[in-house]
Amino acid sequence: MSVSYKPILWDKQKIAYDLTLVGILAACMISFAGVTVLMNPASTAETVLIRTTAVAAFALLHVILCIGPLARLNKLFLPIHYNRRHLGVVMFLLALAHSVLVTIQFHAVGNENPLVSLFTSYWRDYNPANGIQNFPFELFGIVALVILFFMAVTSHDFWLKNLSAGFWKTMHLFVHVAYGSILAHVFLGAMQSEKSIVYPIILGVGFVLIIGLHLAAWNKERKFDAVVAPQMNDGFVDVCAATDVEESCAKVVNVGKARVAVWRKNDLLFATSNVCRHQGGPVGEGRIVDGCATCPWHGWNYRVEDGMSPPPFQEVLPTYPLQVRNGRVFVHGTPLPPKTLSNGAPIQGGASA
Amino acid sequence: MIEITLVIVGLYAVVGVITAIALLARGLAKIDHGVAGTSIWFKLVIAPGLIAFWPLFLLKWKQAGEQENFPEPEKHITIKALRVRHGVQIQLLAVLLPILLGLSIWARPTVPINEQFSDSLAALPIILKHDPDYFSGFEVQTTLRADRYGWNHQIELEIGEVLPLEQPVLYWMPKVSVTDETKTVASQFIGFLKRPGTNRFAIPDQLATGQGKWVILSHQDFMALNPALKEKSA
Repeated sequence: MSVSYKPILWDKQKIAYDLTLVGILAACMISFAGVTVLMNPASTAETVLIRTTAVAAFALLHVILCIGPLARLNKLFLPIHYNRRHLGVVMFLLALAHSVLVTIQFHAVGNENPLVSLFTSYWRDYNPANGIQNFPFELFGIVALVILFFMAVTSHDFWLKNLSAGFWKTMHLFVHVAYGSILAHVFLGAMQSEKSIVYPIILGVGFVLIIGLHLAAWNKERKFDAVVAPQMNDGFVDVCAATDVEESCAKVVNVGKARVAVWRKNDLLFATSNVCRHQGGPVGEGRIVDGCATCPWHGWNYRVEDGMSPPPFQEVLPTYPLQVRNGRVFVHGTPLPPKTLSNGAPIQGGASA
Repeated sequence: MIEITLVIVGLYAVVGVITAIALLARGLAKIDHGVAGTSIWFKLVIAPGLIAFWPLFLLKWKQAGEQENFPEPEKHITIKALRVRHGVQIQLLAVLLPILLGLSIWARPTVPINEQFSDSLAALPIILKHDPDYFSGFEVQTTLRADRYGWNHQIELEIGEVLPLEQPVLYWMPKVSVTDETKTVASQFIGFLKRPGTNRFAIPDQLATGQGKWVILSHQDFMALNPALKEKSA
């Protein structure tokens, strides 16, 4: 939301978030490395590093993938959604460290270019007649690393603006493909040489958790989208009772194909789009702070009267005509021209524009 | 093919670095006014992405030079379309990944029971250290096992790290000198040992009970020791 870009817009919450992340991650990695050395005294330092970076990246990806649906299912998780992109960048750096270490360890001592060796050596062992047995699992790791690279290097808001929000969001949805690739990488790689059933169980629990949460969140949104009140002859839609909207909060409703946030500010009602201009966050699930609707994802602000961000910012949220009739809120399906000023509709009855 | 692909990727990256430097020095502020006056740290943060997306930004730079006001990119997000894509991806993963997990468990080498052969049944495998220089500094743990029914003998090798050999291969040899050309012809190829970790190979019963040696050599060295095999393979 900044006018001139900053590398990172640090604030107290972000600093606390990142310090917590680094602390927990360091503790987990040191613990894992310690246990590995204790249980496998013959392990070399390189092997321990390779395993530790891999497990840390994999575990962090599970956390990242759980945050989104958890925040959709319960507002309590919104604070950890706030700085999720830092988790993503750290996860990519761990995965990169793992792949560099693996390439050095297993491909740098030969007389072939290590990168050529990485892409070719395991194919020589693979016989398609044996199905997936001995399949070159490195391929899946490389696919995931490429996806994570594009996500990490475009994590700054500069990219959101210059690649367009739609393209950016679509590209970042590929994190699910990266997750699938990493699981395939683990299934066909590390798990093939482990005898214990514990490993498939751990992987299975992680899979059920992630897919279960995503399906639950997706289903919740799907059910919400299914409830659409019919449009009246004058283009207005009866969306809720005026008293359903709490002071300084919003109620999110469907108006046609759009999600609209009905805000209550000083007992006046306003209607804005529910889609934040930043990353498409649900503005209506936030609150009015310092007179502005505040998106719960990253704190972008909009005046509910005209949808504009406070100066010097220039983002504009679409606003909608709203009327209160007999205690019911009616929102028109066509947005107002951008920046149209509205006086708000009193909850006792009246029109906003 | 791989070499050509890597060269193309490398060239793309080199052009990307040059373009990124030019963009950061001059062009980017024309494309996005928010870049003007930003710190070197911001430029470093976006530099890897510019290297990756340089053709797009070169095009934008060209367009910015032709137009007085560079148009703002479309910012509208079609949330419902994204939600549909998200749903499709998750449902595909929900179906495909359990199948892959099942297949990968099924494809794992057979896990032998934890019963080792007694000494009276078979000589425990010996890894012949053909050349001490090759084998200094690493260990290979070996176990000879049978499956739960007592047949399908297997040799299991746990290798902590990649073997410092070109195409390391496991062979079984009758109990004779490796330099005896007439006898080593009877050696049997067991399998490649490219991957560290636990490697299991099914072996014929006579190899499990007979007197012999297990040899890890580079494939090249083994062929050099066995001219007859070399001729055969040629």
